[in-house]
Amino acid sequence: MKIRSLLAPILGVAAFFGLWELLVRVGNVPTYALRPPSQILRYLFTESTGFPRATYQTGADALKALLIALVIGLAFGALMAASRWFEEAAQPVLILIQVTPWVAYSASVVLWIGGGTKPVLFVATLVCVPAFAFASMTGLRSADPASLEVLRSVNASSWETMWRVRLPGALPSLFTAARFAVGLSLAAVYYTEGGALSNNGLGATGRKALAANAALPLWSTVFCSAILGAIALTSISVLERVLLRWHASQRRATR
Amino acid sequence: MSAETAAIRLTGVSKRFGQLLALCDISLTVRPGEFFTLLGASGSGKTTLLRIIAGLEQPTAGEVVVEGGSPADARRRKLLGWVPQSPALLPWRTVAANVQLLTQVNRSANPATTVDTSALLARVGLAGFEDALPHELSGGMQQRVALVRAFALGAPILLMDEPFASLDEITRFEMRHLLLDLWQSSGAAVVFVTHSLAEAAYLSDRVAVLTARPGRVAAIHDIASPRPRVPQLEDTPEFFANVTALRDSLRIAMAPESSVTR
Repeated sequence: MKIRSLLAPILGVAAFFGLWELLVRVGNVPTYALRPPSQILRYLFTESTGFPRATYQTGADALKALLIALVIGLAFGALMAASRWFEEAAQPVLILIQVTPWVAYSASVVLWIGGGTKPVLFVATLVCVPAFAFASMTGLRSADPASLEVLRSVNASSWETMWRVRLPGALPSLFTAARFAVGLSLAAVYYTEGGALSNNGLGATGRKALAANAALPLWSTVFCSAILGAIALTSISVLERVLLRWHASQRRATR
Repeated sequence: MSAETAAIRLTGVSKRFGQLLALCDISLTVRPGEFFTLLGASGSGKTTLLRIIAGLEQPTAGEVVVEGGSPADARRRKLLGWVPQSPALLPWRTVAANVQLLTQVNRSANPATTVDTSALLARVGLAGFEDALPHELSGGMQQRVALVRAFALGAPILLMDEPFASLDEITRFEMRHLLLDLWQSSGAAVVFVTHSLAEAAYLSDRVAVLTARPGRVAAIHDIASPRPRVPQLEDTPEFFANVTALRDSLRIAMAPESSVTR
């Protein structure tokens, strides 16, 4: 990788933190509201305890929710791609899930399912399913008709067609959905953890800090969540570059 | 000719799309190992006819027998090699993997002897491109991969739907020579759909000229040029005579119904 392509994002992030630091110090922001990044980093690395574990907990739950949502979404997408009738039945439900603000019902889910990790996984999975379902439906349906006919000419089974033509062809739209779902999953996990306090994730730590008016731990949870999101998106980009080597989106134009 | 010695036999085949009669009462026999061309202008239903032979489309009337069975049977037994208009390669598969695609599905119907695909690729000038992805190849190279994919089945019948239509004239010229080379050692019967007089005259044993809307067989021409045919054939008076005969036949076939004398 070129040094230039590594340097640019680092400089961008450094500039952002610098501006933040400057605004907080010059702008007279109350310390209970916002802390400069230098203090957050010092707190995270020298004073705090439990953040690595909390970050791991939140990251693992967000990843689990994403994977479960991917499996369920693929199943829904395959059924919708195969049957208009099923599509018409499932579409309004998926849209309803997509447009209903999950923050409004996540507390009720905690009351219903109970504390701990279960409600966290439930809400995060639920909110991510529609994106994967719609992406798989579109992706599976958009297979090249001529390729499908070549397979029909040797009587390939629908499973063989699915595995060899439709599913690989759906990968680009699934990756797009995954990029969108990463943020959604993290947010749902963080917020629901805050409601189900028995969990040790970042959301629970943040909620406790908020209740105690402790800005440093609160902002540390924000910081750690952002790192999780960045790791997730970078991983998706790497996977994309490997798996979608053939796709137009991954071919660099020579400038 | 008895039913056993025909690779493909069509009897009274008609096809109607709603109000439109696309094909009308077509009866044809394609012999084993024969290069048979369907020549016609666009709208003559020649692609539809090819799709009916492949069982990708059902005739409204008439009977289709392929290798002694129905087209669906032929597909089940992998007796048909289909070459579509576009190469229809899978963009994520390498050249080698695209060529092997059809032997990887419906495996139980694979023939006992396998075709050496790397030898076929080398024959069409693609040695060294086995690991290339389709987007790294030119249009002509992609279509060569599609040809090899069909020949890799070792099927007794190959159905080709204007496979060279989207290529430039120079590439088309090379492709018809390559195709004959592959075909001659395969022993397969080919049904080749085209609107190119030169392709029909260079490639075929017999050419069926189709009328338009509805498609009917106007005439069947024997192309007597000896085989193996070489590119120089296209500069001979014999070749020009064949092209002229096909053009005249096509002109009569395309004339309004009332002026056709039968």
